[in-house]
This record gives sequence, structure tokens and C-alpha cells, in this order.
Amino acid sequence: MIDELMTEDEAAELIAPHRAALASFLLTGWADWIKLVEQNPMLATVRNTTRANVVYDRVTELAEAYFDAEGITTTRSKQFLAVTLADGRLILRFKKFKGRSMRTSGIPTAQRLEIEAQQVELDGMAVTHLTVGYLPDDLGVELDLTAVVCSFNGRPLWSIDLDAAETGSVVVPVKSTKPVGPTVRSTRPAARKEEAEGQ
Amino acid sequence: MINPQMLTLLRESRGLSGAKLAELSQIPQPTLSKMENGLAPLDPARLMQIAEVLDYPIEAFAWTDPVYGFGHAAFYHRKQQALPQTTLRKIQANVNLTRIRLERLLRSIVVDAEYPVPVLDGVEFGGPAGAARAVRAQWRIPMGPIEDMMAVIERAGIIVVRTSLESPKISAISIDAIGTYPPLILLNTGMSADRERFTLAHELAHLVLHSAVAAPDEAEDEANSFASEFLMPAAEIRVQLKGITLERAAQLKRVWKVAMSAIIRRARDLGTIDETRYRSLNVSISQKGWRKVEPVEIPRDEPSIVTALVDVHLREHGYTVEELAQVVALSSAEFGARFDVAPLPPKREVGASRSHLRAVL
Repeated sequence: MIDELMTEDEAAELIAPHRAALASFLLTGWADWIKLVEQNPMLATVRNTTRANVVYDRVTELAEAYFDAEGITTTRSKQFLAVTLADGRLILRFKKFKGRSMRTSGIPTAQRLEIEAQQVELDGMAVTHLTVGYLPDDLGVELDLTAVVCSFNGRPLWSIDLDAAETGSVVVPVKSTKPVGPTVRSTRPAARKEEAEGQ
Repeated sequence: MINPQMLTLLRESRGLSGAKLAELSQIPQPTLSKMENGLAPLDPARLMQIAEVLDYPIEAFAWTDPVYGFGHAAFYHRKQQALPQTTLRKIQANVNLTRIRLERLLRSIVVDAEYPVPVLDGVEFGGPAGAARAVRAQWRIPMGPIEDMMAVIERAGIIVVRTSLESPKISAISIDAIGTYPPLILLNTGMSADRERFTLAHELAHLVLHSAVAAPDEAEDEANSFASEFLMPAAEIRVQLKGITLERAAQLKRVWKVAMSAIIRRARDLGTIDETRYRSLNVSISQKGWRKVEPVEIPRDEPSIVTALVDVHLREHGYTVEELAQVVALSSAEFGARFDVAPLPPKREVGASRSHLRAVL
């Protein structure tokens, strides 16, 4: 099967028009998570799987809206999103990487094992599954890497860097309600008069 | 008329010994010593020589503003006692000159403090943490993290300035209000934003707990305890600290705007982790090289009062930068550097836009 998989160059060409969008989904999904933690500090103590679920839901919500608008087929099997490109020869899914090796984790269902082994066929034609993934840094504060990865039996064959982590770390917006210091004002009559006239 | 006490203060503010100034100004040291003690007159020629060496306008030597010691809490804890006398005197002189300059800049200007700085007996509140809760309540600080520690401090009328305190051993110096001088916190430069916030809370503790009484030996521990509760109220943060990891500490740093190390110490102090776990986390922090520079930057809280009062003088009172420099007896260059004020065009309209001002006294 490995020789029937789509090549890196071929995949890169198909992904190129959507590369920036894919990067932005990951970046936005992560930024939204960080904002949630700011609003509710207790989220800082949840399990990594909970965090991954929250980020996944946000990333796939954005991706689904984008690809639907582009007229590209998206399917939801249970809650999981798949994006179909090149008449079904290429399928994108979204995951968090376990480490810099860009492996992923999950329950080893039959479907997952089939995808990892790249054994899926469509009308006798090999289907290449790619993972659009992200890796948080050690502290879960920023993204360490973002990439599209082609794996075979769980090992990455090749990857396309999305550069989302380099295009800008997660910027938490400054709240407009930031308190300010006390009023400092003149006590000179002239200054007060000028102030009054200016109003 | 020259004020001998001011001559000494200005010399010490430049970190010079009597012998060094005598050498640089080519005045015999015994003569200079007598001048500083008011036993010998300072003639105009020698005054010019000294003023030139010290780089102060001659008007500064005539100032008669009172010079104060620092009281109980401000200065003399054990780390600072390790500093050389010349350095300590330089710091003390600069703190006094900062107070004098601020007092002059505050003339014809009022700071509308929203609440007073209470002076509390920690024992009455069950300890420093109880006093911290009392101050939060009295100042109507809402539950949760303090968004801007600098604003909280300044709204109590405490003036905060960043300045070099000559040694990293000193994080800050706080001085309570005396005479016409307002309460003041001088923050050392070079600290991270999270450390500045904790330092401000620590200095607030000294102002609240140690202004009226002789600071006990455990004053520093009390101030840390106060600061921890002020920034991270136990009732709110305890549940978030259960099973703390470095990753969670990093997340909580963003939320509470306190160093990861302080959060981990808080977890130990509140009993959500044991001593072994505390040590283990600290070993990890050291191994990763985070003792000096922690990951996760937080926004820096900026002081506003000094910037605002310079602004009032420039915009409303019609002063130029040069005139303001004269008011505080600094050269224009040093005034500009200390207040981060760019020189303005000679002719200026009231309300005209101007470069950003930031106090770095």
C-alpha cells in the first residue's frame, strides 16, 4: 500500500490553496482555549484530553465552515470531521500530536487501525489519510509546531510544516476594561478655567 | 545660601565618597568636610567646581527640603545590610532626592486617591494573610486575580517609580507618607513583570503592617505572606492548586499573573502539595533554567501618576521640559532620561500632541 500513497509533492500542491487557512484553524482553536482558561482558571487544571477535545471542536468547527464554503466535501462520522480532496484520494483529519515525532494517540478502533495502516480504499483506489495536527509546548502555553503529516503504521512518512507556530504565538487580547490609576489634576484656577472652557 | 546637608546628599547621590569628591573638585578634603558640616563657607568658585563634578545645577545646593530616614520597614533587612556603605548611602540619597523632586512636581497638582493606605496590626486580623484580606475588602477589590497591581497601588495615592537601586539584592524600597511627602515605592529596574507585581504587594504589606511599629525579624516573611494572599486569595486559588504540575502552574501564571514559582510555593503553603512534591517541582524549575528567567510572559503593569503629573505641568501649566528640569534641579538631559521625556519644540500649544512620557526616576 505504501507505494500507492499520494506523494508529498502531490499532496502539497493540493493543500497549498488551503495551507494558510489550516494554520489559522489550529492557531485560532488554540487561542480560544487559552482565552477560556483566562475566563475560567479551573480549566487550567483539566486533563490534556479535555483540552484536546475543546481545541478539536473549535478547529473542526472552523474547518467545516471553511471547506463547506469552498464547496469541498466534509463529513462527520460521529463527532469526527474528515475533509475530502482530489475526488476522495486525499482525506484530512485533525488531531493533537503526542510529541515532536508527530504521532497521535487514540482508542485503537478498527477504523483507526485501518487509517493508520493507510489501508482504506475507495472504489479500488487507494486513499491517503493526512493528519492536520498541532503540538502544544511543554507547559501548554503556546504551540510548538503545526503540520500536515502522512503516517504509515503510526510512523510519519513525510510532513508539511504549516508554520502556524511561527507566524505568531497565541496572542491573548488585552481586555479593554483594564483599570487605570487615579486622576491627576491641576489645582491652579487658570488651569481649571481652561479645563472648564474646553468642555 | 548653601545647605550643607544638601551638599552631602547630592554627593552621596552620585556614589562619591568625600575623598573622591575632594579629589575630583580639587578641594582639600578637610575643607570639603568642614563645608559639609557647615563649619566652612562654600564660595561661588568652589560651588561651581563641585556642581560641575556632581552634574547638578547650583540651585540644588540651596534646597532646604527635609531629609528623612526610612523608618522601620523600608530599608534595613538582612540582604541590604550586605551592601557596601557607599552603595547604601547612594541609594538613600537618591530616594530622598526622588521624594524631594516628586514633592516639587506635586505642587499645584492633586492626586485623587480613591482609598487610603490603612495601617493595620496583623495580629488583630489573625496574621498577615488576614490583613491582606482586610485591605482587599476595604479597597473593594473584586474576587479573582488583580488585573493591574500598579493601578491598585496608585489608586491608594502611593506613587510608584522605577529606578536603579544599584543592586539586584534590593527589589524595592517603600516609604510611608511623611510631612508633605506622599507614600512612595521605588521599584528596582530589571525585574520581570510578575516579580514586579509580587514586589508591589510585598511593599504594600510593609506600608500596611510595618509603618507604625518596629518591623519584627519576621517582617519579610510577613510581607510575603501578605503578598501571596493579596494576589492569590486562598479561598479562591486553593482548589486550582490541587495536584499542581509545572504545566498547570504555567497556565495559572497567565491567570493570576504571578510567577510559577510563587504559585507552586502557594500550593505548598496551602497544603495542596506536600514538601516532597514541592521540592521536586523546584528541582525541575532549576534544571530547566527557569530560576532566572521563567517562561510565560505576562503584560507589565505601568505606573501612571508621575507620567500624568509631568503631563499636567507641560500641557496645563505651560512648562517646558527645560523649566521642569530646573524645578527638580536636574540638567535637561538627566530629567529627560529619568522621566523618559523627549525634548519638545521651544514653542508649544496647549493640548498639542507629544511623545509618550514614562517615569523612570
